[in-house]
Amino acid sequence: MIEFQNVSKWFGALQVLRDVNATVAKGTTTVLCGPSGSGKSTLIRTVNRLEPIQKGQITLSGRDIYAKDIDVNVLRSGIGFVFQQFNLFPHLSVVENVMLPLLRIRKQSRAQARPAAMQMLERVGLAEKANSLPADISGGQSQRVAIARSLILKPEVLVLDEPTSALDPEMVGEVLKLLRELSADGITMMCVTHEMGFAREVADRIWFLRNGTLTFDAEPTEFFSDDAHQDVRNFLSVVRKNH
Amino acid sequence: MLEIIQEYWLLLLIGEYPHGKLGGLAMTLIISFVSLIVTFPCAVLIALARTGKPGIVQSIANGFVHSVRAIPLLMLIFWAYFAVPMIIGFPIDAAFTLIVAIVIYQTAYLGEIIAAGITGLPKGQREAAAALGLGYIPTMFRIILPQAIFNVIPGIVNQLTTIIKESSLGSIIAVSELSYVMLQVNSNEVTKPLQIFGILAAVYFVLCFALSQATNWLERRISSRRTGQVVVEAVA
Amino acid sequence: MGYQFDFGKVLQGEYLELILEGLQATMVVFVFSWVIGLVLAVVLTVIRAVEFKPTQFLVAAFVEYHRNVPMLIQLFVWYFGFAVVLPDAVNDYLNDLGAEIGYAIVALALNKAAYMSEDFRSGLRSIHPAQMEAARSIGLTYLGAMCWVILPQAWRLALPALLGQTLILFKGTSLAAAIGVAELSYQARYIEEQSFRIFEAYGIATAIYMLISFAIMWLSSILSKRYELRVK
Repeated sequence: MIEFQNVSKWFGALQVLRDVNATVAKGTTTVLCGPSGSGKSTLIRTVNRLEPIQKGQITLSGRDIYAKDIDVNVLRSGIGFVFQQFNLFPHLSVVENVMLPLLRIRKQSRAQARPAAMQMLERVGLAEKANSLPADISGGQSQRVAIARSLILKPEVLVLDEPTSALDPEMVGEVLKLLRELSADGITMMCVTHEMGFAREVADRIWFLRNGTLTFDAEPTEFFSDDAHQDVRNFLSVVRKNH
Repeated sequence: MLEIIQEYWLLLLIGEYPHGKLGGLAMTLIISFVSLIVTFPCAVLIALARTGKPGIVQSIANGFVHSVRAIPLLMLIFWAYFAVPMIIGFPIDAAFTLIVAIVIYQTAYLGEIIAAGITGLPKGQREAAAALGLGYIPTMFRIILPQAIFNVIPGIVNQLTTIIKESSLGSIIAVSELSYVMLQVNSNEVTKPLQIFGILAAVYFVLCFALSQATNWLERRISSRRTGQVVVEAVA
Repeated sequence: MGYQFDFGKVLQGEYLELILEGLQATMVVFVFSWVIGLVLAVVLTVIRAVEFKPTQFLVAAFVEYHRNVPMLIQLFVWYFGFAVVLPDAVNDYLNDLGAEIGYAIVALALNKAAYMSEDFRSGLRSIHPAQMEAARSIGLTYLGAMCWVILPQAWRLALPALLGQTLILFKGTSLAAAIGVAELSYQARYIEEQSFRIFEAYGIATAIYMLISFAIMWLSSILSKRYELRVK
């Protein structure tokens, strides 16, 4: 579904991604983890071209995302992206946030868009907050609205950049629950997270990045076993200590 | 343009002194600085009234500020021009009435700025002073105001810039400041208004631009050294 | 002292007419300057947003000129200075039409455009860059993102400052008296000179200014609250 071939990226003189080669299979959930600055966020941001790459190739459903005949906006509407800081639009209500892509990209009328948006809000459990403003709902609720907004155009793949890192601990659960359900529904998902419990339960594959290199790519059983790469075992022991 | 400057530069700088009254740029600067200096204590009082306990005093201060902000400065100048001589009983130089008008007008705005400086300080300052047993006056004058005023120095310099621009209204009541002198030069020269008013604009520009750069520099220096809100502009 | 108040004299007949004419002139200058200034401010903000150093510099220079030169002097530059640039025939034609009010509107409009464009710019700058990222991530084009996400936030953020400029503009119309526009303060001074009724003439003009200013201030506080942008 998504293929990274020899992907490299530099920020000026600093190389942040080194020759990444990996594949995300359709319908699977891939979790990316690793220490700060390892390039995991940068890597997923290359999928919808938020971060350009200088070397290598990325294909989505067999098409090179940098091909000349690809419209970047069409590409992006086919990818659902969820940010760590939610990034809801503060001037619009919850339901209007979810309606925006339908109104402005699919050019639907309000009469068409509203029911679809309400349905999506029900899916994430926030129908009763439809007319609230983002400033008046909690972090966990905001992130669920953000997920609803990212799914409204029925994208092929859902990409999440540390979706629970900005949330108070008691709200992390409600977001992870939703992500578990989405994963079970069969959507193709790439998720950067520190939530190792979630990774173990839900991921089909876990990628470990360090210094811009994809050091280890394995199924959860192997990832959490003693056969894993030394870097992974070091990382996990630190993470376990702090949890 | 250079000939005009060459011929009239002394007039522009100090007016007709010593053959007549002091005028020109010197007058503009004197009016501006005197206005600021007289405004300052009045503005502090207004700020204290507005940030203090609710009551008669605060209501009067609020009423004063809202009323003054609802009147154009020009109207205030007309009032001062006529009412001040009447009130004090003898005729007075127009420059003095201009200063009175500017002081009243700016007391409202500068008062607003200082009030913002006071409320921008962390609440802990007042609490710490109270815990030490200090009364209202020592708290205000030794702890709150020194910090608040330091924080609003950029705002004060900004108001000075505004006052310099406002002094140009003196030309309407024949105060011999820079603009009035230029108007006289214009009626003398007749055929070169673009150069004359160009020079006038340029003088104010240089003066005010330099002050606004100073304001920016002060804001940066103070922000890095103090806690609390650094205030630069009067809230609308 | 012995001053006899006589409001009746001022509030009737030809004096009342002059006051009303003055008020009308004030409102004409105010409304035209405001509309032209606002439209021009939007144009200036757009020009400045384009990453082209020469035009950005020109807009910045325009703004700095209008912020550092007194409003009165800006009026003089237009009324005295610009008139020389035009050929005599045009000047005579304009003067018959009542050129002073035109120059007043031009000067005030340009001045307000400078201040308002700064307010818009500051509104734009206070929007977090992640908003643009989020907007592009759902597939909006740059223009679409500006239209539906960025600009709606920018004007809401700039609103309090813009309303403040509106009040300043209204009070600034009084300066048009200096170039002979027969607006409210000009009429007040004229009536005072004719009738020697200082307190009545200026009192009524002041009361009218205060009434309209308070109305603007009241409207401003309602609009600011209604369109306040809370970013959490």
